[in-house]
Amino acid sequence: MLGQTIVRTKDVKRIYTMGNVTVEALRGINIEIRAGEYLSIMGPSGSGKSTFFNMVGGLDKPTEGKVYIDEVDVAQLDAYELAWLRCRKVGYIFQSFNLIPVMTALENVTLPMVFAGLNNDEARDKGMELLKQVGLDKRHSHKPFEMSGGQQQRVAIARALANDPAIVLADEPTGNLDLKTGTEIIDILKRLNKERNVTIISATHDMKMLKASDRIVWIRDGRVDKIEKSEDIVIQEGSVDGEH
Amino acid sequence: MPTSDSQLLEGNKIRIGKQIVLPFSKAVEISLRGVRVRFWRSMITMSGIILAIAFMVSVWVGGAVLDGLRSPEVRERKVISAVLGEPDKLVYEAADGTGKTVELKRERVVRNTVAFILNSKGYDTGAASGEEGAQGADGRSAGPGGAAPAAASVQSRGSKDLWLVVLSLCVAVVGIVNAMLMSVTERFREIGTMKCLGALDSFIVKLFLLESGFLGGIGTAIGVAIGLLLTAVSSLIGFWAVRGEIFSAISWSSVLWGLGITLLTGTALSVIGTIYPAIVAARMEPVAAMRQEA
Repeated sequence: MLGQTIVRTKDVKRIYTMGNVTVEALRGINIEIRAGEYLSIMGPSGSGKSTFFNMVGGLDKPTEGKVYIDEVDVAQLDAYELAWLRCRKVGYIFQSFNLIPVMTALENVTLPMVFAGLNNDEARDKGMELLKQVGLDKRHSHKPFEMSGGQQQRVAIARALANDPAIVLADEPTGNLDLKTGTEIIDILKRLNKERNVTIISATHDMKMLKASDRIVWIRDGRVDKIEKSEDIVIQEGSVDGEH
Repeated sequence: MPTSDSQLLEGNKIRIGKQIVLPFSKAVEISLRGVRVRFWRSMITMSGIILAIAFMVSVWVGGAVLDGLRSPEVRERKVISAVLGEPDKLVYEAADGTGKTVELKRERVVRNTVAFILNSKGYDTGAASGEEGAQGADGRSAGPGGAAPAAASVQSRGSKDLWLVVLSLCVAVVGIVNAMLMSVTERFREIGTMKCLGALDSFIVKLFLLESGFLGGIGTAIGVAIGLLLTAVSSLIGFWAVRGEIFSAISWSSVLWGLGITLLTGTALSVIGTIYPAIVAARMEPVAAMRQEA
């Protein structure tokens, strides 16, 4: 099921300079993520988890080292190519959903298609198809504020898949949701991961995510602390059930 | 150029494309949607320009009314002057054909030239006004002031008005810059999200400029309407005695021309005021979308 390497990092370091203070958020991370993988990035806040996550998604460039997405060095891309990459190669899911408030569910889902140059009819058909996949085709004309958090996040998932990306980046996708809704969202992500063979990379604190993940990368102090495989996760399942 | 290099160097199979620049109509479509939804909120942003434009229109049209009344054809026209108190009533009674009263009252009807009435209200009318004076039946003779005001004072009044108009427009633009910067901060997550979804910087700039263009256009139109209304009311009150002449006296082409200029000015200024905020918005990093604080 797992294909070729889709994201590869080589000695990635990221140093922030704030006035006279330099903060080393990442201190050399090497990792390979393969196509079709469901990967969770875990770590306490301040561990460099978010920085690493942004790096992998082409939202930030490393101070040292290289990030390859689909074997292309992200640092070499100009603004147009980066926009293209974000539009077609990567789908983003945010903790706070980040739907465009003035647009309906369908318009939100079709926005990346518009950016990709699809015409309105194609975009509408594809958008409805995606909304159906997340079970919201009946609510296509609703604005974000007319929907619950779980529904908004499902629209956001549909939007992330708009241009059939190879990678979906999910930043704490269940962070603003209750337990039940969070589980639904994880189930949808897992299902899409299997059905569409899309790589899912999520940064999370949520232990429920562990069950769905193929691998978990623990980040601590800007380094990879450990990488766990799905087999190891089964052991922790008791604690996941314990949350119910 | 860097693409092809890196692609050759890495020897990858997948090509990275260049993001297309969206057709202008798409930007128009999306910005119109934003305008529709945020309309009333945006009208508050635009209230500065609405008021400034209303002021500009009232100065322009008010000037046109005065110029029209001062023009050589109009200022010599005789109108019933208000000097003796209630000329309206007198005229009416004179016209209804009841014998003796008409004789009596007719004497009290005073006709003066437009120029005379304007002068009596303290407006400059130019050289010819003085001698015409009053032709009142009771022998009242006109000639307030006598000395014809110089054209220079007309000029200075015009330039003072212009100065005030320019000043108020500047204040309005500063207000727009400020309000738009606030709006950019309010919408940073939306902008970051759009950039994550593949929006180019130029698209964000276009979006903001178009939105402010539409809003500026609408705001200016509202300002024009308010300005016209105010001018109509103030002209009627100020020139009640010569109200019959106002409509024909005004040079409508000049008024229309002025309104056209005003519409352009208002729209252009609101777009100009948005340039800097739009650039700030476009420079925003897509990571901004990830931030949690709302």
